[in-house]
Amino acid sequence: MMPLQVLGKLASDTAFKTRACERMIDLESNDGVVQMRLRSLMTDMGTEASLWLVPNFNQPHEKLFPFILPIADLDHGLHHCMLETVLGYDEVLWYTYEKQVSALAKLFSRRDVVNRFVKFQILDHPDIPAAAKESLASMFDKLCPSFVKHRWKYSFEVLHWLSSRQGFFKYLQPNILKSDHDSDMTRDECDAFKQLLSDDMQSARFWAMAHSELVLHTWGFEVSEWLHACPCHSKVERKKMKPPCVWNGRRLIEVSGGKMSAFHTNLLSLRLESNSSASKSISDLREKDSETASKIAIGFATAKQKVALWFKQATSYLETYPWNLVNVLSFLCAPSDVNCFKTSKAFASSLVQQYDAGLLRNMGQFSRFLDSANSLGQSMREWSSSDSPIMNAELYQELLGYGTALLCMQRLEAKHHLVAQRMSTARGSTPATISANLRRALNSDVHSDNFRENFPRYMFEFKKLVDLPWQSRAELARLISGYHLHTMFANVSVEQALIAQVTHERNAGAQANVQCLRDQVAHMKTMLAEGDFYAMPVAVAPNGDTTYNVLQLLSLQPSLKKYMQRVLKVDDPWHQKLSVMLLGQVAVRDNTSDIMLVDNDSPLPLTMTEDFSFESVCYGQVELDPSIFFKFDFKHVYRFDTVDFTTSFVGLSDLEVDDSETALVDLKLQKHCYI
Amino acid sequence: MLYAREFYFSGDHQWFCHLRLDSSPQFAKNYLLGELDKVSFPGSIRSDLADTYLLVKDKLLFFGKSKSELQLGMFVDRVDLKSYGKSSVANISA
Repeated sequence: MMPLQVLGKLASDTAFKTRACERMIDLESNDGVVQMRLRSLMTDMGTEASLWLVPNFNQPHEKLFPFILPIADLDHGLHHCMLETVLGYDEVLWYTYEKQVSALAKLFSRRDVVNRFVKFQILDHPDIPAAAKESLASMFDKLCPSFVKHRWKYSFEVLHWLSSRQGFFKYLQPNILKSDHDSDMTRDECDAFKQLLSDDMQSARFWAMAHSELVLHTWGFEVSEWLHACPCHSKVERKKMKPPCVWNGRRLIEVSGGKMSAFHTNLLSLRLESNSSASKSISDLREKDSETASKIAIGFATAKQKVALWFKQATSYLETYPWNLVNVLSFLCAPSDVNCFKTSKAFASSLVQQYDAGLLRNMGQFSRFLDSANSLGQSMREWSSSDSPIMNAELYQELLGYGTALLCMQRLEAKHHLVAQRMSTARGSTPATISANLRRALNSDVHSDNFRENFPRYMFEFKKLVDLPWQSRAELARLISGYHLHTMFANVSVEQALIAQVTHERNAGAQANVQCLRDQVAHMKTMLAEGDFYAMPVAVAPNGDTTYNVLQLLSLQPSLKKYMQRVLKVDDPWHQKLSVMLLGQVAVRDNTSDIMLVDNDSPLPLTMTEDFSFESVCYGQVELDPSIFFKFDFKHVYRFDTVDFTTSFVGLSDLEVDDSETALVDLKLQKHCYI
Repeated sequence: MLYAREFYFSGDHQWFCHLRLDSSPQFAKNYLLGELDKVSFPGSIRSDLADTYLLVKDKLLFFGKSKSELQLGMFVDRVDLKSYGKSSVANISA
């Protein structure tokens, strides 16, 4: 644990934070040894992300941390992904549902309300058998968790609590509220809650929305749980471990081998129909209000695609070079058999081949793993070409150095929260005090005999800590924890200029056609809506036959988000692109009319007929150039009015697979309007 | 910090580290918090065994002295593929 650094409100740009970080490290080690041994730097996508690329101020052609793998916190990434679900659903439906969840959570997180509900609706209920009353009442021993709408895990916990007690809520009466307006609820929440109790259709809508959301949230929870676990212990073993396994959260080896892609595939395979609770609640709603049931089914599918897009943006870089170098150690996390080495060697071999073909260059110090002129590169080549299970120790240690990187910073976030709490309540606590307390809590050095033996000597060596002059220990503490800003960093203009120069070099060449793209995107923003389904012409044959792309628009500017490829400006698949779900292509033919020719003798696209409909069973997310919409001057772009999702279960007995079923999703689009 | 300079983060043994940085603005100040994880390889590399180190799944041994220090155990003998198993863990270099 390193000391806190406190920066003034106006001194929190990259230069100040870099200097503060340098100071943290210099306090802990001599001669920049930590900078050279640092193998990963994890931050969220805030200002600190700039430190991945920041130059060494003394040698601007080199990086401050030359050997690091940049890692974006996956907790933050997942948080942003899960918040995308709100954008998938119909706005009115969503906000009504959200108020109802909030109202229920507020009510059932209070012991007095829960006790009243248990007494009147369970213990005193004449229809519930006496033998079952106690066990049913015990389900309410645990109160409903708090609902914080901007924190998806809170939302998941509330939904999980509510859905597992769904059967009881049919007994809920308006008199659960002590008065017309509950003091904890807002007026809107109170109204939405009363509607939920009095209107069967509202209740059906609520549960359909809740179960639909829970399907996505359960997926998110599984990902989060996996990320925070270790590769070496089972769930049962982990619960018993004290202290927790040090490998918790260190899953880069498996992630670089494709685990996030597997989760992505799992997400895309989620179906409301394959979840019994969601399926039942949608069916119940369809009987009462088929239009809303369809809206929720479409909302679920759209939300799923939006989450999938963000998830890919947040995690795909981890499976690319240089992050995937550690996948050479995949045998550590695979069953111990001969194949685990074969897989590792085959992967190492493919990396070497790519490098020799001129790829995988320009990634700084990582070429040392593949270049034949380097000892690590030689060892990698030896590993990839031999049958021996022996890996060179230097290569092994270097790879494991990267492979042990954490992927989530929940632990640090918790400390941050602690600091915030302490600073707000204990006015006497200085950052230095809190920092020292945290260090003592986290590190066992003060308990070691070695520390105790050397302690008297350290008491006389405080001058070694900082080069600047200080008169009292209080002043020394301020210098260490940083809030002596003007003394430490009176002028960072040189550093700011260096950072700006590096940034400018990285951005050079990326400005071509920007104005044209902006105009196109601005036009599309006024004409198209994210989440809607469109048909647009992509090609016209000489005889006039027109090929239309049928697609769902997921994001007009996916590159507005912050993700690793964008920050590093390498292989960014979303740069200046649209993200769409491509549902298929359809050819429109019209043999009866004459072909219309424009000035340059190329035929115009044929228009679609009024009763056009399209059915898709196969689709996938792709990135398209915005100019594709303007190929025919943005004409002949159609929006589909009616969209429906149906799931057919088809037995595979013909394929000699017993007791198996597969789900095919048919997307039916009917009607259209001309834009 | 002086102790850390001398023993934890000195350059005389084999270790790597991972840094996590986060900050949040509060009370007109920006609190920058960093956490450093140290991964050390306690067994010194002997020249005669330099090419024979290997570590296999579920045989990783940890004897981290603190929550923020991760030490990895490793095999110091040539490992026969067929002998993977808990009994192999006996050859751990401390």
